[in-house]
Amino acid sequence: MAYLSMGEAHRRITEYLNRFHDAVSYQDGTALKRLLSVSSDSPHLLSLADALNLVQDASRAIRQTDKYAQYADIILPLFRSLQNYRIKNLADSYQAFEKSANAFIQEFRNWESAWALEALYVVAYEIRVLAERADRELASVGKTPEKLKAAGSFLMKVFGVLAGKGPKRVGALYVTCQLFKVYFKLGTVHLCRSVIRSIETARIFEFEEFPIRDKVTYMYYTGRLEVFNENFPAADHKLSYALTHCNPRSEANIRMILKYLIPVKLSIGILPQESLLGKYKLLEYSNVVLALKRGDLRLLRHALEEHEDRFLRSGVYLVLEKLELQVYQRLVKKIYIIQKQKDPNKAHQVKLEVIVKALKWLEMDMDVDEVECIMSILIFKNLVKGYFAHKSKVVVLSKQDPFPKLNGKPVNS
Amino acid sequence: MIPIAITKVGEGKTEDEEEVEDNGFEYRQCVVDVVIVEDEEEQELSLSLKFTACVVNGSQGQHGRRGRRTHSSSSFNQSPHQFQSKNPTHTKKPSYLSSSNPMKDDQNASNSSSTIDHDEKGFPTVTGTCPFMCPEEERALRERLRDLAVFERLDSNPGKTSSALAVKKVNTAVLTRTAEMELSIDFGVFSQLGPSFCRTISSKQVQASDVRPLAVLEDTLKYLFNLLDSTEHPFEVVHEFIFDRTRSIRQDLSMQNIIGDKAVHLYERMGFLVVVTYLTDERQRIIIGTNISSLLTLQSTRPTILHAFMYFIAQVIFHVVSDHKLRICTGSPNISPMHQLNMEQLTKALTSLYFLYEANLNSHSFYKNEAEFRSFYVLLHLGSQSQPMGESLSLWLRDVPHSIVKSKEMCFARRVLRYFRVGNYKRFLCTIEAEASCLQYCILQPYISEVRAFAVSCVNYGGYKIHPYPLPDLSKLLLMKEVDVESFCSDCGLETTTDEVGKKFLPMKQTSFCHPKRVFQNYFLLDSRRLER
Repeated sequence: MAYLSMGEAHRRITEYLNRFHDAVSYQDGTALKRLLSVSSDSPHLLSLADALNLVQDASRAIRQTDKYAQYADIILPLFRSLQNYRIKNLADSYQAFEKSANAFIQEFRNWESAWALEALYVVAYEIRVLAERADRELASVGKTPEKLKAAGSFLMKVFGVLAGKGPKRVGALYVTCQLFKVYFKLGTVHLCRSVIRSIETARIFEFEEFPIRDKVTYMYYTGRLEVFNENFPAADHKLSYALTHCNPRSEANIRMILKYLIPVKLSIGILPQESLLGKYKLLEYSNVVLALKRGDLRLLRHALEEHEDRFLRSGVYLVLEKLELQVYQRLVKKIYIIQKQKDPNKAHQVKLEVIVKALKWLEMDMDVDEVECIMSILIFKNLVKGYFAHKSKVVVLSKQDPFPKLNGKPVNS
Repeated sequence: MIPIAITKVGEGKTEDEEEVEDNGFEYRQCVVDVVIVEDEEEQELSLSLKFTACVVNGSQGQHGRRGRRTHSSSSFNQSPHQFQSKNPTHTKKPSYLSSSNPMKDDQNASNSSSTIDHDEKGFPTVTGTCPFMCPEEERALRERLRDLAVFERLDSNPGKTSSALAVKKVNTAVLTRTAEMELSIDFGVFSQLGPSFCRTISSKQVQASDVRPLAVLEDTLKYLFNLLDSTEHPFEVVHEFIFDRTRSIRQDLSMQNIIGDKAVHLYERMGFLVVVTYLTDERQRIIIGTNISSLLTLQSTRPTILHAFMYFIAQVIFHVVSDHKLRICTGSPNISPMHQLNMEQLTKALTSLYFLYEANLNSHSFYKNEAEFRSFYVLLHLGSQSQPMGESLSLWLRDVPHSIVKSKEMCFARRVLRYFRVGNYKRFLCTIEAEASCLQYCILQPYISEVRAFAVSCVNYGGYKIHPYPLPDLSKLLLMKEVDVESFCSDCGLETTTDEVGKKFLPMKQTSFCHPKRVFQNYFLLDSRRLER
């Protein structure tokens, strides 16, 4: 690091203080937000941090001057946070930032218009990110990672501040999304419920008024929740909304949406093209799709096993498992088509033995009883139209539309 | 083809999106909030206990599913706000923790509470003085009311007992009201988990002469153990009695706030007793017995965790069994409030057990049990996937350590789950018959009935009109005795027919199918040699 003189250090601090004061006086949200983004590693803030670490105690400088003193509660802890961040004391950095953020919220409440909303977003973002890093640091030294949880509580407070009638309320969705991220990371997903309820039922919120960016994020997370609960029509609706309104150049985001949308679409009978999977690096679904196309149960099982950990972690494993029925349907359909080519008059009668043989060829060991069981399920769930004759061990397919399509509806439970 | 729309507005999500599983360091934090609500009649203060358990998982899973942690004084913190006074003596560990042999007798007399009249929090504790297994007053009262269990009767006289036979019953007047309260009372014994002195006794109601001191409790338990060998009474009766009476022992223990080596021993033996009474099969008893005793001789650095395990395992078993009994005895489907409570208790016991597994970083000796007990969670929630407010299994499975996911028991549970969700009734029933352990089977009971009903409705719906389904085949499919199949079908609103040579059939395409309302005991037992009790 280049030699930093005391004079230069003081100059940097004073410059920051001036900027802060000006930003607030002229209600310049954009300028303000840049002064608050601790974790951004911006050269300006890093150099300020160095200056602070040299000077050690900036409080005199602040308190001596009236125009800075009024923001002391925000700035002093913010400085401490920066200093700690610079020397990689992340837990302390978070702690200090939270203090600063608290003071900021108090001021924010008093500011009338929504000019500082962007700055507030940065504060909310920083709270989360600093907490995440702090927890990582804590965990790595064997201590309890508790900062992210604290961040969650803080963000709820912020949400409360924004949930009012004024123009500030459009910020609520951004904070909601930060909360989602916190809860998902913590695994306390059930806590999302209360904030979702507030957004969706409170009369002060008009969903369309929120910025598009936040709506996309919101729909993404609520869509994921629907996937966990296997409400496929709702999941489809929400994730598709996120997809259509997402920035098409943001490939990473599209990939994340697709990761959850694809299993949903598969469950309602819509298959993605291989090129899509390739473009967004979702090739783990490749074999699943192929299995569905081919009626290849062995391939499905294999694909699930191969990517088991990944699917379990993202929570789509159970959804994919259930595709089995559609794979069976496809297999029987293929047999039917082959038989039709041989002898169109007899094609609609499929001997159970033939299905057993086909499955054996796929290295799936099933006896006639089990095949009958599967067929009866397919019939019951309307994946196959027809009936089975137990005595003659035959499935008789309906002459008309024996394999009804799902038409965008999930298989009947 | 999934449509990709072009948006006019150029805004996307923030670039910082980071998925949980992206090579990250993953962690989870659970908070269990046990809040005891005041009873209106009680004037004692209630305490709430909050403890957090943290687990750190390395995402690669190679170096064990748990990271190395320095052994801190407690892996559970209590939140400082929750306790009104912070008295350092409460956080003092009982003496046996520092001794190398956890099985040595408790030499520290001050650990026994018989000389303490008030604990440090200022709650009056009772000091028991009752010298008998059953307090005199209660004995006399129950004699008068003829409220004596078979084991307590003198010469089978329901109105006569003796001090050698009568055992104190659970005191329902001071019975805790909610599942949480009971659990937290038991927690209190395991002070390593954080002091919890959650009791709702009112000193006015309970007299010292009604409460048995530690020595008497030990003798009582010995007596109950001996009852195990009694062959003259049916299993249910023995179990009922033993369980109620051991619960009463627990009550007396917690009322006196007895902690320390001897109390822990008592708890552990009670757990053992519960487990053993459940298993009437001699061989199983021996197997479990040797497992448990080998666990007990383990020199663990945290002996209380060991006992806590024992205790929670026993709790789980108890709840599984009593739920099973409930269903058989009342013959009602699962809607009853007792069942609800039982399921709550069971889930809580399981959750506590999982916390302990995760906190117990060094010992792998519980690994074998853990897989089975984790599998219970899956089996308990077979049908809950599409509950909107229910705990989604997808979420739960996310956090299960890799080695557990791959274990035999979990694989069994996941397969059963798959068969259930797909509707594959044949494999569902066959797999359970072939592979389920006793406890897993108990848990699966309600689903077995459900799946059988589903099977019948599928067969009825899809079967060929002209070929009625032979009942013997149906009985093989459903793994039920043929006579039971007949009554089961009629419970489902379906008729069965008999042909000229006496063979029975189920005609197809009947429109009168309905889900059976009453469920009888016989239906539960899969017709299986392996699972026969």
